[in-house]
Amino acid sequence: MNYESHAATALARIRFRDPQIEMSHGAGGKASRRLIEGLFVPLLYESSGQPLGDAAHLNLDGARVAITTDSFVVKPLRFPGGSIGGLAVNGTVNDLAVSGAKAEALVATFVLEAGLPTETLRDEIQAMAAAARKAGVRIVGGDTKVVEHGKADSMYISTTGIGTPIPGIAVDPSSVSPGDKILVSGPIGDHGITILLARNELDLEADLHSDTRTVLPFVEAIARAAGSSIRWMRDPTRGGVATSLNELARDCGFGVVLDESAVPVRDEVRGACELLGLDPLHIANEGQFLTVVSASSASADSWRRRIAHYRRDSTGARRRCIGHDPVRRHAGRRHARRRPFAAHLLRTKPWLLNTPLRPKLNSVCWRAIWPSSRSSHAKPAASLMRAVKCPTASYAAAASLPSAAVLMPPTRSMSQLNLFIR
Amino acid sequence: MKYVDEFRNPQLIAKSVDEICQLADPQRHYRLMEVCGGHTHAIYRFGLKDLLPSNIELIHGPGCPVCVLPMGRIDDGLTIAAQPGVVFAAFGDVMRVPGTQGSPLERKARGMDIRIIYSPSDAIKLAKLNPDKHVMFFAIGFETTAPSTALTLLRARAEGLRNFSVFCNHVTIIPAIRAILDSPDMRIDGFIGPGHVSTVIGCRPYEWVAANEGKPIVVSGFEPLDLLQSIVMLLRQLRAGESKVENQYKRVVPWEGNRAALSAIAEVFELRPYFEWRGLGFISQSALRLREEYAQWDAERRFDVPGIRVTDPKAAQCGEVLKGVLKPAQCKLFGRECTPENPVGALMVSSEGSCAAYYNYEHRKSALVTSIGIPT
Repeated sequence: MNYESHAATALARIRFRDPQIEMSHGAGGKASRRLIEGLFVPLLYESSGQPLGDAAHLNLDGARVAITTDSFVVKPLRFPGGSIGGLAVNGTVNDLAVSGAKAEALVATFVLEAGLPTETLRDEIQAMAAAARKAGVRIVGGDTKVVEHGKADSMYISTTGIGTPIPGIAVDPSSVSPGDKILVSGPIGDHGITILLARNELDLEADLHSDTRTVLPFVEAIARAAGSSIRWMRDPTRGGVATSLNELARDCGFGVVLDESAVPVRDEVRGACELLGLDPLHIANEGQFLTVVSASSASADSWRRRIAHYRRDSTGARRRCIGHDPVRRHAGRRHARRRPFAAHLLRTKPWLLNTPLRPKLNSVCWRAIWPSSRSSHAKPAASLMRAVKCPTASYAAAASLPSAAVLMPPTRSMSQLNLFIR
Repeated sequence: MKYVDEFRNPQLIAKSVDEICQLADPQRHYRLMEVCGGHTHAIYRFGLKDLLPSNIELIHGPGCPVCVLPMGRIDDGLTIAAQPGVVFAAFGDVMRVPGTQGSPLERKARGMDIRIIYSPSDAIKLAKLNPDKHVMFFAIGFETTAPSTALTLLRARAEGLRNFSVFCNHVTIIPAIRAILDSPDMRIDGFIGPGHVSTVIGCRPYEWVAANEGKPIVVSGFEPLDLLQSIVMLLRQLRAGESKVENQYKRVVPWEGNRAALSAIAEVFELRPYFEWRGLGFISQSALRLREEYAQWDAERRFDVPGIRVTDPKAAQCGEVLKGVLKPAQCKLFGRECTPENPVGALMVSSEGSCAAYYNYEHRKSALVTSIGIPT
């Protein structure tokens, strides 16, 4: 998140009283917010009354530019579907894109740990180059620091990007009004769960890939097709969809109601979340974004007409309406969602993300459910397939939702619950 | 998703709720205790409380290992961890539990070597990777997790691992249920029995509750339909004036329990003469410790443990909430000084703690419902 020039006067009253920095201050939830608004904003920036956004939009002698920066600390460096290099480019390009700007140039800072194999570094630089080409952005400079072995975790990358405004889009949370619809670009939680599993700490495996990609082409396509109906955008990275919507709710002054059954979540992600006691709404994404569009524009018909645009883009194939703003303004509440069978409102829990996980079921239970273990390969997989036969078109259910703009997913059949206990 | 979606089927849930409404005598007030913290969490998460008639009151029981652990034990564990060369390994839900000098996570931020593990066997891996350090596993949990600690100790013994020990806080559920039944301020009509614990101990150990105390008990699963079905089964028994043990969670819980797991527990652990529980005080024979043969891996024997009793912060009413005497929101600190972000008491920390469940799913819900007009 970029906080330059966006310090709301009302927020400046927050004081940061925590005696020391803890992991939660970097997790994107309430504690991060407190750190930024209680310490960085009052000391570094004068308040301009604007809410915090993904990028700062500046007016430099009449030229409008957007600027943002992001650092990337990921373990492992490579994971299914991507690596830190691609992430570093996509993350910054996406932050600019959802603020309504097209990334033009990036600079990158590398913090390297002595002992890092050159091969690893070369791979990541190549990954950055490839991602930059795809996003149509130049990497024009950088800086490198090397720290002693043991003083960093192999490599950290920080990228700063500047961009120019995409014509036809104005991202402004204060323009959000009751009745507006929230759209999500695709299934959520893929990245966070992929990373979690790639660390090999959980003895779980799933056929999952990170969703890291640039969302810029998609944002540009919407801008062309329906720019004027867009009120707000955000890429739900750290802290997930719930945290982004909490910020929206706070910035626009309205509550947000989600229809849980309309939120697209892959079965693998759901399965992992069920086992680990996590909520997909709090899991990080790297290639999805949320949009609030005006109520009228979100009718199923109008979006179905526009789907032609997206289908031609390689990105954002599944775009779903997941909720709507409630009818009346209310204070104090952030985010709520609706359970399919009991209207159920949830106070969000950013702290949960900071709570390290403990498997919900012990191994004894696992054995009770799945008698065979993975170690004896192929066979258990087959028995799992039989045991967990599940509907392939789990997304189709949303088509019957009233007033939801449902853009049907491509016909790639969902794999079964490909979650194995190793 | 198989095994999940079926148990969250809205039509079936509506049907069970109808049945509950028919079975419940409107003249009568039912107090049912769900012993397990996992049930408490599910009840709030799925909004089951809103579906039940108002004369069915669900009382949250003591089945949350983190919540019942007195603060002194955390302090003891951290005192050992403060010694040079000691690595403190524990499950994630212990990490944020407040000790007098801060939670393990806060101590970690100040440089103490504290690791989060997902299974006790990870502690063995850790010990092998760090032969120059001593890895102490802070074991916690009911009979659910005791077998995996036992198996880990069996392995440590078989491999002759020297730089590994267990600080054992395993507790047993039956004495806790007995303590609740003995408590004069608790008037419970029936129990929703713990599902995970019963996968290990089976249903037989509960028979005395039904036979001697005349209270029905239904061992239940953790999905909404499981819980509602268990309530139906309890109400049927209450209506017929019966009291027996029933197993709703048959797909996971064998009546006799898991023999292999039980024998591993018996091999490694013995009962402590007494153990302190938050809220319930000292309960005799309610916790496990390592047998003499495993003294070498027993952190309490290997290290000097201060063993000082630490009382909870005065204003916090964790004990009363844990016993079910108070509802979470009735505690003076709830939602003000004590929040999941800055927990004062353990019940606000654990995902199984009733305060955390209540705070996340229930707190200020009624205000929201009125302000945005969502029907319940």
